[in-house]
Amino acid sequence: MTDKYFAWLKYYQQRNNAMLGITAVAVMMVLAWEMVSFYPLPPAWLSRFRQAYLIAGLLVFFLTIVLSYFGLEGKLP
Amino acid sequence: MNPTLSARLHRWSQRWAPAAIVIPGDGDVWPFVLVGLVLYVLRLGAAPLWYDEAVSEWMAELPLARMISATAADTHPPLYYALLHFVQWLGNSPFVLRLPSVFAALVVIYLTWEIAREFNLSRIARIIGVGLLLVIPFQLWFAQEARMYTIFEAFVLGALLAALRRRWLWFVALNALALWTHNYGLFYLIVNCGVAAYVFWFDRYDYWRRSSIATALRYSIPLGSRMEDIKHAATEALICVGLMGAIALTLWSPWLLALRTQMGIVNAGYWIQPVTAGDVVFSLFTILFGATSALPIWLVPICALFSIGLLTWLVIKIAQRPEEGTLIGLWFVAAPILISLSISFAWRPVFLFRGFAPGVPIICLLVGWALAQLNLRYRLYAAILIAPLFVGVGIGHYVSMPEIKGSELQTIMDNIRAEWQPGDVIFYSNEGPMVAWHMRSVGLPQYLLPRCPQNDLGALSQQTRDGLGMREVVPASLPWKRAWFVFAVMSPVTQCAADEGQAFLDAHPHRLAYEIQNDQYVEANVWLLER
Repeated sequence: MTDKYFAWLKYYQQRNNAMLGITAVAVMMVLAWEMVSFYPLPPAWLSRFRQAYLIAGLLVFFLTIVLSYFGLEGKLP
Repeated sequence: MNPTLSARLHRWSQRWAPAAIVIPGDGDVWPFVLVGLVLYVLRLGAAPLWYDEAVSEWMAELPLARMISATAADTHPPLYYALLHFVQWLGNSPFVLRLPSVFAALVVIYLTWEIAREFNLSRIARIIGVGLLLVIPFQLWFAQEARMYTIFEAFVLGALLAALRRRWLWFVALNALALWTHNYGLFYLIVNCGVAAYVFWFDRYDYWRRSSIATALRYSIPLGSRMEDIKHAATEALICVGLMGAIALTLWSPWLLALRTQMGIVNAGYWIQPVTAGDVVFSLFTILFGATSALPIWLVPICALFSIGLLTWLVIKIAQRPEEGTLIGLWFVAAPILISLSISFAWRPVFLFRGFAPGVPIICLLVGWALAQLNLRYRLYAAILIAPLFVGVGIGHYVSMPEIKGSELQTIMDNIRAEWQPGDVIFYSNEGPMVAWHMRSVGLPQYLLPRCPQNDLGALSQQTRDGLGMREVVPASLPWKRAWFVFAVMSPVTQCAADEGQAFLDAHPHRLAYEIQNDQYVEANVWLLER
């Protein structure tokens, strides 16, 4: 095979490794939400935790998009 | 939508649409179908046909017998190409060739709504689920693609609905049609038979239970054991569903010989890589976001994070509150993935996200079901997460599709035609660019360089090449004066093929005519050679 094949294979492996990292983060985020929802806390605390989680989640969500744009655009195929 | 118009459309469908004759529906689905029609027809012909679609077009333009021979040595059954063969009578523009996929995608919307009713989903869950199906990038991509995936979806989902509604003739026929449309039909036959067995068992168990109560009452004997009833019902379900599966397989059996050849091709070396955990995750992500080439790279991490998070959350919700419909849905989505993974580990990699297309509408329904259980505030929050991604990617789909599918190739071919001189020919280093340029270079003399002993990964078989009428020639044997040489070295190309192309180039005075793509993964250019 040509060097193109091996370059693609390397990219393919890097992509798959990145996917595993993303999976770990995604699963932990969901589990954290479930814990926030079901952990036996006083209702007032629980409500505050949920609010904080959702606002933090939104911030991280849009921040990731912005950072990805400046960090990755034009640097990968 | 105007309720009168909605009711009229429904009555019309009941009267004329073949599926609706056996599948009763309600009028609520038609607004979604109409929105789907607008979304799927929008800029339908704007992009040229890319490689996969060009294969469809080329196969479809062959006489039927030759097409069947060509596809028998490729990797798909012939039903879709046969359908496209007749559609081509209306024209062979990208718009016309993509129309069957649009119609099938509209049928999928209808079927998804009806399946949701059979799952006993609430109206709000149905609306969210089918609304999501309209904007999900995967569905948008394949509704506008001249390939078999939405048609395959329609057959498989139709069979699922037939099983849920106990329409066993339709169940057999639609499964057989799915088998003739895509080889993953085999996996979905197993999955649908699983659903049918459950439905059958449930019905027969009820029958046996009632019988034993009646017998006990009539003859004043103790009630038969519940276990006996379950056994009776299970035996009957297995026999009947096994029989129906066997009939569907029999209807498809003429293709078995061809399948053997196709599996031989996969066994001899296909382009799909061995499956890894990361690969599975990537496929789950692409099940929602479609062909990732349409995504800007900076959107991939957040889309992947969102997809995996959503699917994880969905599984947790189903586990927390298992219901009959959602469990059947989970089985329908997960079982084909598990079957495909098992085969990939036991034999050869066959794991490809496109084959899981029928699961996509069901995922949307499950998401609709899960979101419908949240209060309005959380639903709005979910909308804030989902809308920018799906809508943004959807708009990107319409804007960037022509470029992604190779609109610059058309410009290059137009220029070549403008510079064409008597004695000119086109040579291709391999079949990839030849297929992609096939529609654009009609009427021009064009040839492939002779093939190396070792095939490029995923290359067409000799039988398929012959069927398509690809001509391999040694350049010296032709009386050409100038040659436009399309020389493409991509990841599946062997070193031998790259060397042969380079040797041909070096043997003649040449200049670079057009650059197509040059980076560390692809080197593709058009060279002008003189003799």
